[in-house]
Amino acid sequence: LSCIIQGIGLLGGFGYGQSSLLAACEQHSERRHQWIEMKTSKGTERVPVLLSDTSSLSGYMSKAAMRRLNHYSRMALLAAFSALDDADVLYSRPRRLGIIVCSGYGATINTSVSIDSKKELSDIFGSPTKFASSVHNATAGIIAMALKETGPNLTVSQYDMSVPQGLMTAQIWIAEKRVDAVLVGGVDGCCYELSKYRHTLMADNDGFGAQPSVVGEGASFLLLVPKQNHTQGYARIQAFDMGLLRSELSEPDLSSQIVILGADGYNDYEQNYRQLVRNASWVANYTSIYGILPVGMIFDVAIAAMALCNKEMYPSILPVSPVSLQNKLAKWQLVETRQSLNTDCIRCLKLGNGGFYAWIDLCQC
Amino acid sequence: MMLLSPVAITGIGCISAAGHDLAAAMECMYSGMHQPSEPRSFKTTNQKPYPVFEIGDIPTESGCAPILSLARTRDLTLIAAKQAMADASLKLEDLSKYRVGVCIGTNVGSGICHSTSFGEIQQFQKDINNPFVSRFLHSSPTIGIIDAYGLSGPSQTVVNACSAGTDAIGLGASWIRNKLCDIVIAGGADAMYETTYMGFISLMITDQNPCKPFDRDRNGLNLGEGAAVFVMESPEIIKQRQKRPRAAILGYGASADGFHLTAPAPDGAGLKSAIAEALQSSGRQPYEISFINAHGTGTIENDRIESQVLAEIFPKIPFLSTKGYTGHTLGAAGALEAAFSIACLEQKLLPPSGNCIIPDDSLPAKPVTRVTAIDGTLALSQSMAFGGNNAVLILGAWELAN
Repeated sequence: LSCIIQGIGLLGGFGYGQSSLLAACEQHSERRHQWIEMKTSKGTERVPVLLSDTSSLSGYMSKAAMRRLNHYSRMALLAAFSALDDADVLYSRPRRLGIIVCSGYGATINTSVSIDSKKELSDIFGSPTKFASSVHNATAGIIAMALKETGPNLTVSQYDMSVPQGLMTAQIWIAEKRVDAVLVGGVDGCCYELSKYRHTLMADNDGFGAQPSVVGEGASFLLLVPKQNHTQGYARIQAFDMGLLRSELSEPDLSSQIVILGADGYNDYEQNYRQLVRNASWVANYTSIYGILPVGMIFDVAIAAMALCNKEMYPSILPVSPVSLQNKLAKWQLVETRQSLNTDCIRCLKLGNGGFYAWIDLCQC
Repeated sequence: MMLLSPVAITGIGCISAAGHDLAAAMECMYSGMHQPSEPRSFKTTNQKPYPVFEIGDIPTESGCAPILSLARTRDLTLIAAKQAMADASLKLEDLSKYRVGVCIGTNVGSGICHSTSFGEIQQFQKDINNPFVSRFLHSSPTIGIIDAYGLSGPSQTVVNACSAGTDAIGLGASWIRNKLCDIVIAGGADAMYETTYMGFISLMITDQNPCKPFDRDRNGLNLGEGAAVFVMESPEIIKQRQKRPRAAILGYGASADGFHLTAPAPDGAGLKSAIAEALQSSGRQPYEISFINAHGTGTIENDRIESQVLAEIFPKIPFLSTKGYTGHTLGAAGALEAAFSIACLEQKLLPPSGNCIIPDDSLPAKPVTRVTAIDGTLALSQSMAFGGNNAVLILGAWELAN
């Protein structure tokens, strides 16, 4: 299983597009948070969040077509259109295109909206439009409708592991020749209920997370094509693995690799990063750029692909105390400034709640 | 699309309103008897409640005590998984020797619809300590199986609405073919929740009487709940364990309508495309199919379009809908129907299409209305879903795989 990333589209709290993301990496000290108010046991608190602006979607769709779309679907659509545009196939797409949407929270944010509507209207029937858009695969269906694509269409939702799951299926579809290309992406919205929950957990977290990232939202899509038919692209997905860390952790040989960590300073299982990256030469972390969201790994894969294509790494900061992540046996250094890339392979590593792990190795085409 | 190698099914488990295991469900269907009733798991304010197919209390014989702090979908999944593991003669201690993956389809995955009531969310908004979010974060049916069996292989939760169970089985089979796993536990599950109940009523596609798929007087669907789980194994493990498979996944196809979120494409193009892909991947022709387990929800449009497609591609091949016995179990539907299809192949007998008393004369293809003997060893089970998803499995006797 192997394929090439030919297009990248993304938006998040950092802005819209690759240049915004890279600019945010350079200016990470100037965080561009927004604030939402939450009622907690301590009273009303202002909580920082990284929100997305989808106004650029009007460059791809008429305002009439956008009218009924919720914010969650708009984020996904904008990233999906951008990935196709970036690969220069927006108007001449591959013959059979698969679509995969990965979401940690799913359409949770829409479900909340649907529930509000019931409360507000005091109507036992609720809103059919809002209910329809709360169905978890609605956004994948909306993308298929907007693109008029009839290839296989999949939505996966399993918290932090949704993105590696979607990328695995994309590669299987390509290997089985079900499709000529796959548009695969991750999207998560900032849901009030979950933001409040995360905020409370972070406030209570005085262990591993010294400087946890803030809650974020956004979307990124990648256009994947078969390796056999294409040589041009950002990077090649060379290998991947996922599962559950149950036994003692082995230390992979990462001596010549850069590892992008999905650590956000929140998850207790992140202690395991220490062991898993001890042999790496360089470590980078971008969660402070896109925020805490279950599909954060899709941004790491996009950043790795851009880095391999441009042959340079982008400045990063750790959302955790380096002391907690590094021990005296560790050999790695943090990528803190823009630097030329001295390896042809980058690993993206994500440890999720409950002991789940996933890694994806990207290499130069 | 490549010609794909068959994948062995060694164990099947299922629970639905039609029966607490596969044998009981088949007995119910062959008798042609089952009726829905008003919801019992939540209160409804409707003067005339819309009937549903609920399972009721978790059966004690299942040996799976419900975890009250977690979602019911997870409990149903574990009951079906336990049956499937027993059917496959796999013990907990055996599993640590293999790389075992889990792929489960469900309606909401990790979504907040796992809430049992609207009030729970409102309570959470007042009190962070309300267990609502904790329940949401720990109720994934996929993670339920991983935890229950101490597994460490790949996992995936498919949330393709009403085709999720079919897709999860098709994708799980690919994990075996691509040597990502030795064993895959795959299927679908969904419990009855107030959120979906109210949502489907809002769409005006539910019947206030027992649903009648393909019947002249059909007027919508009844919701149901259930779970079905399959154990699939690689050829190497089959040989090593000397376990005779029950059946095989021979083909899988999937497509999108790209037409409407909640209505099927009028020309059935998406469904035809998924059928074509499934046939191509199995190397089979339409005339080789012995029977079809249709999606058959009982809505006017679904049944009309499905009937058109079946008449066009599979003329004179018998078909049925089992939703008259189980209700529409959403993410579980495709997996349950795949399980029923294999049981029909084994018994060489189709039950009457559920609650189809007077087949709609305007439909170009009509389902079987009595217990019907079948020849052949190939079944096709198809699902159509919100979002425009279509998914099709071709299932066969294990002998065909060799």
